[in-house]
Amino acid sequence: MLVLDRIYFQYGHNLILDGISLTLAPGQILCLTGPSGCGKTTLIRIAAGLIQPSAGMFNNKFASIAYVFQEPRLLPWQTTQENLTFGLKAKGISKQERMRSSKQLAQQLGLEQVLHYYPHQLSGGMQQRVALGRALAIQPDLLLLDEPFNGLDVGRRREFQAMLLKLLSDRHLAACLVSHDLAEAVRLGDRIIVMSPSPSRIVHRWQSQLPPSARDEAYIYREVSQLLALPDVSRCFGLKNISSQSNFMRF
Amino acid sequence: MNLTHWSKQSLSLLKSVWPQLVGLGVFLVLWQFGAMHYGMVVLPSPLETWAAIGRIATTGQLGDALLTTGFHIFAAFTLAVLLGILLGIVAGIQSGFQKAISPIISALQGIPPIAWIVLALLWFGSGSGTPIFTITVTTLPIVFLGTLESIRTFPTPLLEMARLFRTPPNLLLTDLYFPHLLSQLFPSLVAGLGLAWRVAVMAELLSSEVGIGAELNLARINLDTDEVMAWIVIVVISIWVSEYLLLRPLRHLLEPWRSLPTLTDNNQHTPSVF
Repeated sequence: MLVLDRIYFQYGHNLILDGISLTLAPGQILCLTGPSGCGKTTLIRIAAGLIQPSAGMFNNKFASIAYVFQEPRLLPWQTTQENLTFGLKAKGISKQERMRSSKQLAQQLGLEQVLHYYPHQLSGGMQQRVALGRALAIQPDLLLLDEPFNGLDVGRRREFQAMLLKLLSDRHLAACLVSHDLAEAVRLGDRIIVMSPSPSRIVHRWQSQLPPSARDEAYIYREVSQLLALPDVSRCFGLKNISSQSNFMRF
Repeated sequence: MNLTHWSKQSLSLLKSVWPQLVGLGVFLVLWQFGAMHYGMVVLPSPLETWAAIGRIATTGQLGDALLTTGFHIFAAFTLAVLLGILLGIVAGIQSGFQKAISPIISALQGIPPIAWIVLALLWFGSGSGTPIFTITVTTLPIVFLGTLESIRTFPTPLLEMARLFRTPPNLLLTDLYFPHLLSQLFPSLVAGLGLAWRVAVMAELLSSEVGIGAELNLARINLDTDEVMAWIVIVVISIWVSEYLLLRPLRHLLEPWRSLPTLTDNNQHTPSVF
């Protein structure tokens, strides 16, 4: 269980987070969404313990947290195999055990063919898969993901999303995912928190009625348009002429 | 099939080096014209220089001189690299130490090598001590500044990633800092090695009775201009050899990840990242 209670974060004179409260239960997928620069990344970095909130209560009961960054952040001088097991090496796990683990992960992530390649030899999507594998290798019970699909084309994105959902449900992992894309949030999240531009507050909380596997495209489009029809949500994404837009959509 | 592959490869090699060959050719032609105009005593021709190299090589002078100078450079440069990296790391981590040592390093950099040679002659006399000392003090700042820069430019995103995995300090050193240092330091090492050769010849010429510099001095005294030219050519070739046949293969060995082509390159032979 992760509990954030009235979290404030101030950077210089700018208030970034203005009292954000949320909870994340084991096995749940929570999506943080909102316009670019609204402090989503700040919030997830607080959850990871990378930065301290200026005020507020922060309670993490998850035993092990792993983090996937916007960029892969692989070590350029290490092969896929070594990068995958970097976290295990940091834990002092034996080389034999790491080899075994890397083979298993490579199989789950479709990386068997590139185990001995260096990061610069891989495509962006492949690199991001290695980064995901590296996070999963340490067998966390909470996975934090900061827009991990950025820079992937729509096909690779879907592929990566499906892979992520399967890995999360197989391991009964809790996840907190940052995304500025509402459709992606509806596709992946059990719950969504919509944040306003900074100073950021939570403007809307959404809960899915269906498990991820049962959400088809029609459901996703319907939910996204219903979310955007809410004045609070559309305003925070900067959709000003929402009435004229909905008129336009009606024709 | 093998043969066509081989000839294709040599053809592509030829394609990639022909500008260098043309440059070298033009230089040799100009040299030849100069030699014809000024005569052998002032400027020996390329062929005469080549003959002098052959003469030096057969008497065994060449081998001895190369060994001596090579030893001076190896000993001094190894010392400079070890000291430079050590000081650079400490300065990179401890800003106080960096501030304290910076004026000393800029002073070392500002002193002309010739001044060091004069000092070293007084301290060490005419043995190997003078060239070794001079090469060490002149190349040390290059290695030091290269190391410092590499530590300063360490990518913080990678460090943050490592921190999230609670990476212990020894692993940070072996898996992050050291490989990064190695990859950033290479240009400094190439520059340092070039300087080491030039300073070695100068120090030997002024202070020593052995080594390439001393041989160069002897040729000058005897007015053997073709031998002077021969020694100069030998130094140039030695610098090339030490960079292309020692330093670069060493880098290739230590950093295999640099020179591998990307998957998307397929059959295109892109030049390596050296």
